[in-house]
Amino acid sequence: MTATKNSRAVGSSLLMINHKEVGRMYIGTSILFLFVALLTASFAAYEVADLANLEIFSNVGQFRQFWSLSREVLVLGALLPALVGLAIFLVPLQLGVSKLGFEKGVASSYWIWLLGFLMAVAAYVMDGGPGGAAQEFVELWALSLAMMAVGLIWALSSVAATILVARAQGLSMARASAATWFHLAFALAGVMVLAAYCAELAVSFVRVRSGFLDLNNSASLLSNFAPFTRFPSLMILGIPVMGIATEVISVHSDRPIKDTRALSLPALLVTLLSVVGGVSYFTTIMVPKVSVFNTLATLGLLVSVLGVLGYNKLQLFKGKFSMNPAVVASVGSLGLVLTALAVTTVDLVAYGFADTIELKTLTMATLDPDLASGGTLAAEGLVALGPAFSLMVGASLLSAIGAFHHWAIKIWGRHLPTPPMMAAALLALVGSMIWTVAQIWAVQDIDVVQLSVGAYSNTGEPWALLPLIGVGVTAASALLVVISVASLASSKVSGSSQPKWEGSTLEWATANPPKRDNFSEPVVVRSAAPLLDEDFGKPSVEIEELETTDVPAIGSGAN
Amino acid sequence: MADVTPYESLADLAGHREAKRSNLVVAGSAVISASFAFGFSVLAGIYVALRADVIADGSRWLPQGVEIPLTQPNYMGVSLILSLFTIWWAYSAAKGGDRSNALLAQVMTLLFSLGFVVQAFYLFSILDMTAGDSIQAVLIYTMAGAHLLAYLAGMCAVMFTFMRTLVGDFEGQRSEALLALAIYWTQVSAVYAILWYAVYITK
Repeated sequence: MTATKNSRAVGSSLLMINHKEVGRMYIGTSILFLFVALLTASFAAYEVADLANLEIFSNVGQFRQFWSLSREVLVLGALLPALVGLAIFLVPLQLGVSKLGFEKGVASSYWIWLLGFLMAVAAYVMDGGPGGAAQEFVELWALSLAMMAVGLIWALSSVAATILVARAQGLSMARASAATWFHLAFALAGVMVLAAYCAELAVSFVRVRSGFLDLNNSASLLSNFAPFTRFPSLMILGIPVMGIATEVISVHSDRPIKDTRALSLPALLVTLLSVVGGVSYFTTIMVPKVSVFNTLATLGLLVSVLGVLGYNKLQLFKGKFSMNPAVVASVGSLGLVLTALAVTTVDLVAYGFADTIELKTLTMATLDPDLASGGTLAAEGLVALGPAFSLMVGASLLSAIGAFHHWAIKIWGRHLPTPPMMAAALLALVGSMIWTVAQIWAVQDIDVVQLSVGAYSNTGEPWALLPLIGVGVTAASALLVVISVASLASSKVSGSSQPKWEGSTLEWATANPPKRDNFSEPVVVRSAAPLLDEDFGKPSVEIEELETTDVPAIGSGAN
Repeated sequence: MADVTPYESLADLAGHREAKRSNLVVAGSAVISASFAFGFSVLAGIYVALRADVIADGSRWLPQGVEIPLTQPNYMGVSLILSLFTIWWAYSAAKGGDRSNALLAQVMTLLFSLGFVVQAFYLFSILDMTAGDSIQAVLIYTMAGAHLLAYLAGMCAVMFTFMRTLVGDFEGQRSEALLALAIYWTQVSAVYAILWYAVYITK
C-alpha cells in the first residue's frame, strides 16, 4: 500500500500536472543554467583575446567547442526556457482559468527539454558538437538540440492554444493583458523559429550520418546557430520582454492598462516580422545573406519596439514613478532591445547590401566539404551583427529579473529581497553594455580567415579584455539572481509574504502563491482591468445552478 | 438571478467556465501543424536556393546518373488527395453522429496512407542515390524523410481516433478530435504538394 502511494507520489512529481509547478521547474532550472552558460562564456571571452596562445584550452578546436556550448546553453538552455517558464506560470492566471491546455504534455516538454540539454552536454564531452571528431556524438549533438527545441515548441504550442481558446468568461482578446498579447506573439513566433532551427539540425544530422560531411571540417556546423544571434529571428527573445516590461511598468506607475488594442498591433507585427523576416537566414544555411528584406523587417521591428517604448514612457511620465528592481530591469530591458535593433539597422543599411555577393559564396562553402569553409566563427561579427546578440542576452536577463521580482509573490509566495535584485539588474545592464562595446570595437579589426585558423591575437589592444569583463559582470548578475531565488526557496522566513503591490489583471486576484485551481470560483471579466471593476467577483448567476451543468473542463478526461 | 447581462446567461457562463478540451485540441493541432509546415518550408527554401545557385552556374542540379521517376510521386499525390477527402468525410460523419460512415472513412484513409508509404519506400529504393553522395541527396532525403515521419505520425493518430470512434467517443459535439486530425492531415498534404513540385517535378 505504501509502495503504491510512493510510486504515485513519484509519478505525480515527475508529471507535475500543474502549470505552476512546471513553470517553477522551467524557471529554476534555467536560471541555474544561465549562470553556468555565462561562466563558460567568460572562459571563452578570456581566450578570445589571444587565440594564438591559448591558456585554458589545449587547442583552438577545444576553444571552439566551449564557445559553441556556451551560446547554445545561453539561448536554448537558459534564456528561452526561463521566458517559456514564465509564460507557462502566468498565462492561465492572467486568463482566469485553472489550468494550461495539455498540462501533461507541458510537463513532458520540461523533461524532453532537460534530457536534450543533458544529452547535448554529454555529446560535447564525448567530442561531439560542431568541430567534434566522433561521428556518433556529433549526431547526438544535433539530435539533442532538436530535442530541446521540440520540448520548447510543445510548451509554446500549449501556451498559444490556451490563449486562443481557453479564456475566462468575458475575456476577449481586446480585454487580454499586455503580457498575454506578447506571450501569444512569443509562442507563435517561437514555434515557427524553433521549427526552422529543427529543420536546419535535420539537414546537419543527415549530412553527418550519411558521411557527406567531413568531420575534419565539421566546424561549419557552428553556423546552424547563427539565426539566434541576429535579427529578425533573434527577436523571439525580445517579444516577451516587451509584454513583461509593459505589464510591470503599468503596475508600478499605478496606471492600469484599460485598453490593450493599441498594443496588439506591435505584438502581431513583431511576430510576423521575426518569423518571415528571419526565413532568409535559415534558407541560406545560416551564413548571413543580407537582403533588403532583412533590413526592412528589422526596420519594422524597430518601429514596433519604438511604439511600445513610447507607450511605456507615457505611462512612466504620467504615473507615479517608483524605483525598484522590477521597474529598473523593465526599463533597461526595453532600452537594450531598442539599442540592439537600432545598431543592427544602422549596420544593415551601412554594410548589408555590399556584402551580399561575398556571403553567398560562403553559403556554398559551408555545405560543400571540398571547398574551404572558414569564417563560421567570425560570422557573428562579419557584418557587425554580433552586438545584437549580447544586447538581447542582456535584455532577456533583465526582463527575467524584472518579472521574477514583480511576480515573486505569486511564483514563490514571497517577495524577493530588493538590494540583491537591484544589484543584479544594474549588473546585467552594465555587463551587457560592456560586452556590446567590446564587440563593436572588436569587429573593426576582425579578420575572418585569421580567426578561423586560430591565429588571431589582439593582445595589447585596449579592448582585449573588455569581452571578459562584460560577460563576467553579466555572470555576476545571474549569480545574484540564483542566490536570491535559492534563499527564498530554502528559508521560511526570508522575504515578505504580504504583497507590496498589486495590479489590476486577474493573477492578482489569486492567493500568494495561487492555490491549485488558481481561482476559487468561475471568473467573469468585464474590462481590461477586471480587478478595478466594482462588480468583480460578484457571481452573475447562482453558482449552485452551474454545478448541475455537465460541462467537460480542461483535463477532466471527458474527451 | 439578479445582475445578469445578456451574454452572461446560465448556458453561456457554463459553456465558458473552462474551455472545452476539444477546442484546445483543435487549436493545438493548428499551431503544431503551422509549426511543422514552417519548418518544412525552410527545408524547401534551402533546397530551392541551392538549386538556383547551381543552375545559375550552368551545372545540372541532380548528380550525374540520377533520375527521379514521376510514377511513384504522382501515385503518392493521388493517394494523399483521396485520403484528404476521406479524413474530412470521417469528421463530417462523426459530427453528424454517423459512426459507421466515420469508421469506414477512417479505414479508407488508412488504406490510402498505406499505399502512400509503400510507394515512398519503393521510390527510395529505385533512386540511384545514397544520402552521402551529394548535398542534393542530403536535402532530398531530409525533406522526404521529414514528410514521411509526419505522415506516419498522422497514420498513428488515425488508428487512435479509429479506436475511439469505434467505442463511440467521437460523435456529435465530441468530434473535434477528428477535426484536429483533419487539420493536421491537410497540412501534411500541403507540405507534400511543396515536396512534389520542388523536388519531384522541377528536379
